[in-house]
Amino acid sequence: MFVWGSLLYFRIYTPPANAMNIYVVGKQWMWKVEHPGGQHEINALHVPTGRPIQLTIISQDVFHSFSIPAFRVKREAIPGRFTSVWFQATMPGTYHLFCTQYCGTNHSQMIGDVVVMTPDDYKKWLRESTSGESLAQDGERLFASLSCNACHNTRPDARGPNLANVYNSQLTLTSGLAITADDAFLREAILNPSQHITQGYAPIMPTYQGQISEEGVIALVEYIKNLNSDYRIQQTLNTTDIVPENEGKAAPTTPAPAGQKEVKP
Amino acid sequence: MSEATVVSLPDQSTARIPKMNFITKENGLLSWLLTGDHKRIATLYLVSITFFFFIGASLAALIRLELLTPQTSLMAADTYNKVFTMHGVIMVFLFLVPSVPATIGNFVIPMMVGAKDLALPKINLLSWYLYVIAGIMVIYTMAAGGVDTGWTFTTPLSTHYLNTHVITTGLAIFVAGFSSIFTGLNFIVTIHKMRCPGMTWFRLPLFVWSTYAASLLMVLGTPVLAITLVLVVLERLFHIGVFDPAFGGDPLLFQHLFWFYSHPAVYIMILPGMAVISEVVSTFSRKRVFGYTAVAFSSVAIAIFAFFVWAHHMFIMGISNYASLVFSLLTMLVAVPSAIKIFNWTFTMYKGSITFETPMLYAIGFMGLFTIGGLTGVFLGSTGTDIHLTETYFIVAHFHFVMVGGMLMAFLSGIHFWWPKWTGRMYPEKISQFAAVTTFIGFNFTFFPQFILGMLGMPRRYAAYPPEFQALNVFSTAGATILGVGYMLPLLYLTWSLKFGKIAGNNPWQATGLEWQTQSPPLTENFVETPIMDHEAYDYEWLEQQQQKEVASV
Ligand code: HEC
Ligand SMILES: [Cu+2]
Ligand SMILES: [Cu+2]
Repeated sequence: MFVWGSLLYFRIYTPPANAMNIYVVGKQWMWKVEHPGGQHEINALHVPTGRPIQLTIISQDVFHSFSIPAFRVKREAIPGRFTSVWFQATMPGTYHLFCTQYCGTNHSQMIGDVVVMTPDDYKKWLRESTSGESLAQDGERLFASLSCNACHNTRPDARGPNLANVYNSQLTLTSGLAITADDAFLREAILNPSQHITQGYAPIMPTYQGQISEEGVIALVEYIKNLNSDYRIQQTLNTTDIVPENEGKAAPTTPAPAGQKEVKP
Repeated sequence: MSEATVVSLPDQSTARIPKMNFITKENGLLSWLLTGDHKRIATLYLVSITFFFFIGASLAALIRLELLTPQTSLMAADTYNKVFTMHGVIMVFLFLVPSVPATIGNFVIPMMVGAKDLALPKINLLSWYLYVIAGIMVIYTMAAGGVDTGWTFTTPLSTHYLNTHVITTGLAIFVAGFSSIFTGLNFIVTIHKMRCPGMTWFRLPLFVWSTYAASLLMVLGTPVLAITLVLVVLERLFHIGVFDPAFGGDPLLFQHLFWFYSHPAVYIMILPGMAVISEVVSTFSRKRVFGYTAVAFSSVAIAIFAFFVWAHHMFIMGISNYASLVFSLLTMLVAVPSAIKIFNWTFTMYKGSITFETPMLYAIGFMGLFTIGGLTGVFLGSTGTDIHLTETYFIVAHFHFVMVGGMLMAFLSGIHFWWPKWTGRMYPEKISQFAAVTTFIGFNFTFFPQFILGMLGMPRRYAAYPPEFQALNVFSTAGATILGVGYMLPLLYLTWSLKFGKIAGNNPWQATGLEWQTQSPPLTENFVETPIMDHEAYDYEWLEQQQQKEVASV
């Protein structure tokens, strides 16, 4: 029982590398879903069959818990911290989506539908519900409007590190700690920069705590994740391609390979 | 005495309740309110705990009524949230935690070890006053509009987002916590220092061992809860930033601290229940408890393990996978001592001459329900299955099986068992057997459907739910009605028996504990002269010889 349970547990909380990443933000009392293609949903989650879906979950206020009983998955949405879970839907249909952690007055209204579609239907849905801008483009806009690019640019005299390819790379902090720049780290780097200064840089980056909404942070993280060249990312407006640009390697709970410090989400 | 029963009542035409006993010793309200006598304090506890039990039970009734329909038909969602919160707070902190230790334990422990009283009678009285203060604060909270955090006070919901009476409730639990710390301390000191000559550790009834283990948990665990709640209150008042991420706190820290107490709390609640069962099973099987030492040490083992499993409440909360692994393993291990107990009780009954008086019926109910509760716990302790089952009605059913099916059954068993000693009178046997069976049936009807609901995925703490869950909810509510009858009956007939019950005599059950070798109700000093323990616990042959001697000397 113990062995079986533990195997199951590791499986559910260790997303495969080719998973498609969708962000979920819990807030009193609704679920907001952000697709990489820029589609926003409230209390609904559209996914295609036959693809591993990774959910990166966070809460904007109190503890919530994201649960799809039909898929046997559940993960706590914690304020200020990414958690993740994955599943692969097999049958098109509509399934319950619940908040299972008591979160105040309308806890029992914090429910919604998971709509599982065939890949073709899903493509159609993506096309029809696009907001005109992908999540990463949202992030890019924020990146400019918050003047992140004043420091993070490719010029030789830039005061901040170049963020291209930073995602999933190994960083060494001034404290000597080696750290993998995963989703959780990127989020932290934006909100609490003084907590982990990268070696070779001055602690000049201001904190953005309280200035960006949780969705804003997600957009920025998504943008940085997609910065794999010095040029702006190639995400098209009409996401006909359901494969997101990123490799979706984000796995905050994945145990880091031996020798590396594990980053807890 | 008929074959089928151990009850040996004195000849009813000549039987008298001894004129001098702890109840008649002094009269007047003040003599009760200022008493140092452990038996009187136990009585005060019994009355107040029963009072809160019925408040908690009425709240449960409201919950079940609301859940009859999928919509919020009876009350608004907010009201529902307050109702289940108050139900949890009252049942856990004002009923389950103090139930057996503070009433039955208080009453019998000094007698079991052959002492006149607890080591610190004044502190004992103080515990009761603290309990009452906590109770009044809780009632005040309810009157003032209630609180809706859930009994788990999850931060930052409780510190930042709710505008209800979190502070008074938190302080009430804080005060109640001290009440149980003092009770625990008192028991520990008493068991160490006040044993009568000849009463070695391994001659102690198993009741004492179990309660001792529970007392250790109370003394070591409760302070953590107290600190945690004070931090919640401070965070609310001054935003000190311990738990609330908005002020740089860590919300998971609260979970760690809270469950560091509240998991052991489960054992604080269940160990005294097990204590009762050991006594009852042995007495009505007329056999020494099988594997005395194993049972004794399993209590201590539970107490120790209990502190190392708290994170099993947090498997889905993003603690590291490896931490989950360790805590899952430890959780499985903690099931071992409990299983040892169940096996040993079963072996005690095996080939014993069993009779089915009410306390035994409740005890058998306990063993059945606790086993189901325990086994379903394995599915929750196993990380993979926990992901699906946690935070659903499966959890609700699981802990009600353990707490209500286990602890409450044990409490009722104990109350019936020691009632003759306590009051000098018997409860009416037939109707109480009926009540025991009703409770058992009602209980299963109420909570078994909830296991299924949980597996289907119905989340807990929902005021409204999708319509497909209705049938099972209706079932559950119907069962709760039967259960309600099962709980009302003892209240009525026990009160009735205070005046009209048959005279019990010293030892109606032919039990071996020292408390049965003195008059019922006992003298304020318990024994005429300090008893000397010259035999092992549960020595039924000794008892027989003793009685033959008495007959011979008459
Ligand atoms: C005043 C200049 C400045 C601004 C404005 C600034 N940063 Fe930074 N940033 C830095 C410096 C310097 C570092 C490296 C030291 C550190 O880790 O704090 C850094 C580090 C980072 C890192 C960690 C990656 C690494 O290689 O260390 C991320 C991610 C990041 N910044 C994102 C942002 C985002 C997003 C914004 C806008 C919301 C922003 N920064 C605005 C100066 C700045
Ligand atoms: Cu909720
Ligand atoms: Cu527990």
